[in-house]
Amino acid sequence: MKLKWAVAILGLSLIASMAGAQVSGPTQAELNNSAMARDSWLMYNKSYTGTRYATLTQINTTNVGQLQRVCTFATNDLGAFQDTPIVYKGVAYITQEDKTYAIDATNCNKLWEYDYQPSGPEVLSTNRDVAIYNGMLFRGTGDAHLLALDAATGKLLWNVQVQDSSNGYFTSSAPIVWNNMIFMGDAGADWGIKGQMHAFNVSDGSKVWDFNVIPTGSEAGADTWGSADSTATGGGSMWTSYTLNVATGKLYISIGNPAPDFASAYRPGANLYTDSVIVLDAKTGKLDHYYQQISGDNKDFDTSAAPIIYTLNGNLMMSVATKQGYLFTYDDSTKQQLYKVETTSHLNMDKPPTTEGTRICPNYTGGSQWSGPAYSPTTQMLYVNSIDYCGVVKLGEVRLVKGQLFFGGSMELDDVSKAKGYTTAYDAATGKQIWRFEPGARSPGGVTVTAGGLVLTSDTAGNMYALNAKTGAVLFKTNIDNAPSGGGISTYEVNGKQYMAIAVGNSSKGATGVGAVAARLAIFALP
Amino acid sequence: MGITALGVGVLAQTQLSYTQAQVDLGKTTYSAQCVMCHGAQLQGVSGPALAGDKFLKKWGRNTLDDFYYIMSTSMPQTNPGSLSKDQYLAIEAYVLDTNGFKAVGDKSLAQEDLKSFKFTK
Repeated sequence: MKLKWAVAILGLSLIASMAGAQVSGPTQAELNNSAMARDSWLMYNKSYTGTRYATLTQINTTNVGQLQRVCTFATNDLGAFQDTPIVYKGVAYITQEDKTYAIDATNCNKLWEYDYQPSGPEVLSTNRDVAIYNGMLFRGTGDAHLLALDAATGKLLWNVQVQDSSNGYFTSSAPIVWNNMIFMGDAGADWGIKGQMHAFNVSDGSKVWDFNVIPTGSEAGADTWGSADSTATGGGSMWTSYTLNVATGKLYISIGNPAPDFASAYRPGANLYTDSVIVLDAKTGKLDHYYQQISGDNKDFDTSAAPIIYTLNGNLMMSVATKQGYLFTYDDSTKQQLYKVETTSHLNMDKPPTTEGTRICPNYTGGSQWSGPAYSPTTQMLYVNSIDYCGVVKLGEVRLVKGQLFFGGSMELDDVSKAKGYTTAYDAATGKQIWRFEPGARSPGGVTVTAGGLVLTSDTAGNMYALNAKTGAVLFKTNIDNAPSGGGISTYEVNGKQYMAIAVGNSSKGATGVGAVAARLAIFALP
Repeated sequence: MGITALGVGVLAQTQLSYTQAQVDLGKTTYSAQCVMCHGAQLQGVSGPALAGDKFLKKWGRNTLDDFYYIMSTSMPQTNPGSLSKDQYLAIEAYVLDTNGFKAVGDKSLAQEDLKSFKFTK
């Protein structure tokens, strides 16, 4: 291992000496300015705050109707595609299971691609994109590794194993970087993992700290597991990305469901820190505080989309949308929950699964899956995509097959034609619904909101929409090759011209069906 | 002869065997229920591969019963458990055959045999 690090460090020194053709940023100062930056989209949810608010106004409510597709880059890969394209210095970076691509963000020309060769079994094909810092890209893999690539060439700089994927672990979230650390957690609760959050050194991938998402022994929260044995497969995934308060150094992390998903009798108790947002000291990995959304979940209702933080009326707010179809907002200065409002309809949420089957709304592909709220400081509204979709959950045998799904039952989904998608605007202060748009298909993808008064969203029929952020009125609609969309839209300026880049394609067969239109990046601009 | 055959029939298989009829039924059922995610060659599309080195690496240590359990409780994805026992067994025979297990014989693959065999050739 030491030899590997030495080689990696040598590689970095060589890169540092080859100035000119290299990508040198973004610096920590640029990352700190990511929310305000006009020429980039530096993180999965735009910035450390996760609010997906772009300060750009060139494309706005008066001219968005003229938007045109500039170009398309098709990967021809049918695997999951849930990225929001990361853009820096006119280059868009996208990922799928094994591939990482650098694409010219103005004309879709491919600059390079990197094809990862996994060393362990790949659990799931989903990968949500890279973190970028100091000329390097960082990403997870289906076999639970963490990779660093040269942002200029796609060359592998280092590769460390995070966990053993033969036990169901993988790393699907888009990491973030701060103070020379990469933050990345484990995914795989539904395969019976025992989740951990991690920080790694950017220079060589060496470990800085771990945090046990499933506490045991003398760790705080261990007493919420009535059966100590069940913690070994207790679950707790980190699926999407991470949120950071740069002023306090606090890291906000959504933690997914406990396992086995449906057989809660196997793991009596509140099962901390599953279905929670935990807040850690980013430097040490120590727990500061937490908010649990569901105690002892028995329906696979992850808190999976990243939380967002913003200031409203002088208070630090934290909002998070869950798979159970609720939007929660907390005042993070007082640690009080301000409201919990419905983003979908609900049926039998308090009834446990039975062997005969319990009908529930939403099912585990409903609510907010991997995309959280967007927040506009201009309108002071939260914009949430959610899916209204019912099903029947059945209790079954609890059997751990190493590295395979560990549900303790099954979920039967209604016919997909009955599923509905929503984009809903809520008053951030009160949670009161302001408007709701129904695209006609499901909407698991990311919402972006701009200073130009636009809410950008998409659906699983391949439609992309620009809505009036104040009213929800459709100002622009286009179809992108019928490719089911579960990705997000990033917007940025290159040479003074504003662009929008959207990730569409066979986003997730569980959440968007089996429509086999391969992944593609489409870029839009005004004529 | 009759007694011998009966005797073999009630004992668990000591050598893996499935029938050509099972492989055929498995292929038909697979084509209707599984092919859109797992691919015509079982190569994996939006779902994981069910044939080839990756698949065998992932499943090599598991019994056929583990595979049956996972398949019959989690697939087809939108309606898990909705196929008959014979259909699930047939799909498993088809998966084995496609992976080159070459165990077509007179004896059908039965549920009670599944724990005796692994996905290793």
